[in-house]
Amino acid sequence: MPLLEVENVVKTFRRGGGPAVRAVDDVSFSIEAGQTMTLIGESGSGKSTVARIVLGLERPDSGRVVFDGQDLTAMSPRDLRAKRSTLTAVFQEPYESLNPRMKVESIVGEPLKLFDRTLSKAARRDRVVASLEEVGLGAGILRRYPGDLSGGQQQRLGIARALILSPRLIVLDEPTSSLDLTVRATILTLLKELQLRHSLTYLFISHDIATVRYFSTNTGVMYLGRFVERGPTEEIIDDPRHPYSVALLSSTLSTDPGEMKPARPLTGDAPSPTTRFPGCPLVGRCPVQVDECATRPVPMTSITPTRSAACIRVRPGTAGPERNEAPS
Amino acid sequence: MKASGELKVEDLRVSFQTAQGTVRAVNGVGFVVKPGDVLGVVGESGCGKSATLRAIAGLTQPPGHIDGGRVEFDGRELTGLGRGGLRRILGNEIGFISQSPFGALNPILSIERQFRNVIKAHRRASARECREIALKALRDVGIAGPERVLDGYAHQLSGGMAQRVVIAMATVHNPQLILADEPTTALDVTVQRQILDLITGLIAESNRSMLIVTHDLGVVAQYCTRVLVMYAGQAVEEGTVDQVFRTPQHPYTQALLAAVPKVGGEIRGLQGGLPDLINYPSGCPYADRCPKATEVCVETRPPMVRAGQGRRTACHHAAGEVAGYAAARS
Ligand SMILES: Nc1ncnc2c1ncn2[C@@H]1O[C@H](COP(=O)(O)OP(=O)(O)O)[C@@H](O)[C@H]1O
Ligand SMILES: Nc1ncnc2c1ncn2[C@@H]1O[C@H](COP(=O)(O)OP(=O)(O)O)[C@@H](O)[C@H]1O
Ligand code: SF4
Ligand code: SF4
Ligand SMILES: [Mg+2]
Ligand SMILES: [Mg+2]
Repeated sequence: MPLLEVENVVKTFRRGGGPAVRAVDDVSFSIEAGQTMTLIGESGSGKSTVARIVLGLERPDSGRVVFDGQDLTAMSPRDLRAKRSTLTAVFQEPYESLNPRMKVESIVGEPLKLFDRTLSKAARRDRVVASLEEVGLGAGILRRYPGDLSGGQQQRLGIARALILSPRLIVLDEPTSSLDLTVRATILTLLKELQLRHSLTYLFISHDIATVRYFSTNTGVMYLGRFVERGPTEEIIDDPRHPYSVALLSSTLSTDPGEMKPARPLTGDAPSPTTRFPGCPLVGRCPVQVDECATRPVPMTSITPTRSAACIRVRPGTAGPERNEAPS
Repeated sequence: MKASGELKVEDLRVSFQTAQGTVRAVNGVGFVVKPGDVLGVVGESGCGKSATLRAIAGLTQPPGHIDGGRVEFDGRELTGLGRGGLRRILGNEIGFISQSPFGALNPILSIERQFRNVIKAHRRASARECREIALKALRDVGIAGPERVLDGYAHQLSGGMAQRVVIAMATVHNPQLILADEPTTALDVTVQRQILDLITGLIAESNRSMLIVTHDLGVVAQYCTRVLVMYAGQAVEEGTVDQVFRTPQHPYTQALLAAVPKVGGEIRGLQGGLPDLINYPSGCPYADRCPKATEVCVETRPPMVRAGQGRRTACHHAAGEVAGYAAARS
């Protein structure tokens, strides 16, 4: 049984009296314990909203989030709170997610204070030190403020805080995007070590494809709140089928000189997030669209035993027709 | 026809006065950008990339100060030109593109007004002519409905559109040299690719050149001809992209490349951070993080020296042309 199952989740936002934004539109996926699922897609495609729904920070309009066999969306706030100790998060901007006026000891120990009130101060400090050591920081920084630390150390602090409740699943929303490459590598290797050591399950969000390949087992590609393709990471990166995945992945730049892939761009810019599409949301930008695409709903359909895509021109089997017919 | 437009930077030094002391942001950087070159500048954040670029363009502002060095463009020394002289060159022969398009655009002037100001700064043109020129420039950067953009304001544009407008403005006078500071960092990859294809297309068409600061090694690998690696305000390695990426000689460059995930490979990070730029080390600035450091490294700063055909490295124990790194990697 998967550790996390997200089923047909929908979330709309309405700003003022304006039209609604479908931030997440009928998204489903699951993650097996100990594995890493990545969400990729351009900014505004709904990745963080999915993450916040999984964390219980946002309530979906409809759909279910089943964690460890229990439907989080049906739980009372009190039960949900208890459950949340096994489900934590690390966010993109280390500094912004750390209170600058709190010392390291209080920052890392804060979740313990909330979830385990019986713990003595000394026992709490021991747990904080153990957690800091897990992430390669020592007890020496207990009394420092986050502002005194480098970006890499701040992100380690965020990880120490996420680890302290011994969670089973950690949501990683672009945890290394604001870090220098060499620092990013230290954080990624740390996260991988921790995953092995504690059998952690990750929901990972990133826009760096090389990192995604290094880091994750499965990947979902999002466009305008919808999943357009989902499957094993390597297959998605090496052989994307959905026209949006093809465009996205052909835009990523290899760090090997002389390996430039031909661009397979979409036409025009992304539509406003309030646009409603009766058919496929890629209509108007897709290089292989047909008339039907504008009117016929395109649900995620399985194309191989491990992969699904939401496109009427991607058929089950190994060779999607759009790969041959796309203008180059 | 404008002249050749070679950029030559020699021993550039920039510092910032702060309450804690003088921050030595750029410490003797030198390089040449020849027509046709696209030079990528990479290095950890805070290593002086932006300060270098701004100094070249004469945009250094207090508390920043140019302490020394020469910047020569197209045979003229820019550092001695004064404000008026520089203004004639910037925007005309040299185009500048910054990271944030919304920082570069004026929020209260229409895009058309801003275009007109940019055009009239360097040539005589009527309002009608300016509009024609602007429409063409916007079409050239791939904007389909340029009239609507021209009549609107910055806040009505998406990030990708705004950066295209900035590029259209920066290149409206066909500059010989483009200075770009992380021009696509804030954008999604699909837009990044369109914009880089566009700028490098403009350059390749007429043997112009570009200096581009980026932290994305993919941008360097795919769009640059040469690369300059900076560390703590110094240039530590320079060469063609092939040379530097395939056989990096400086230990910092090696660490940088080892941090990039490769198919089926492991990655290695780098502990520690930049040295104190106020009490700048007298030896090699990388010594406290370098696995190859010896006594001489701490005592004497290694100068940038020729290290093969068209390449330079600043390291007492630099890896040889083919030896070392490539072998260690496999
Ligand atoms: N709290 C909110 N109120 C209104 N709109 C929101 C809110 N959060 C997200 N959105 C909108 O939902 C869409 C998806 O946002 P997000 O999940 O942050 O995307 P991503 O993480 O992929 O960049 C965007 O159009 C965004 O503007
Ligand atoms: N306005 C400023 N005041 C004080 N220090 C500054 C200022 N601007 C830059 N610096 C310092 O100069 C150094 C180089 O900065 P910068 O050129 O912006 O680095 P990069 O672009 O490589 O990230 C940094 O250490 C930074 O702290
Ligand atoms: S359903 Fe039609 S428009 Fe949508 S991605 Fe497939 S071919 Fe393109
Ligand atoms: S000079 Fe010494 S410390 Fe500096 S990079 Fe070379 S080996 Fe390392
Ligand atoms: Mg997000
Ligand atoms: Mg900078």
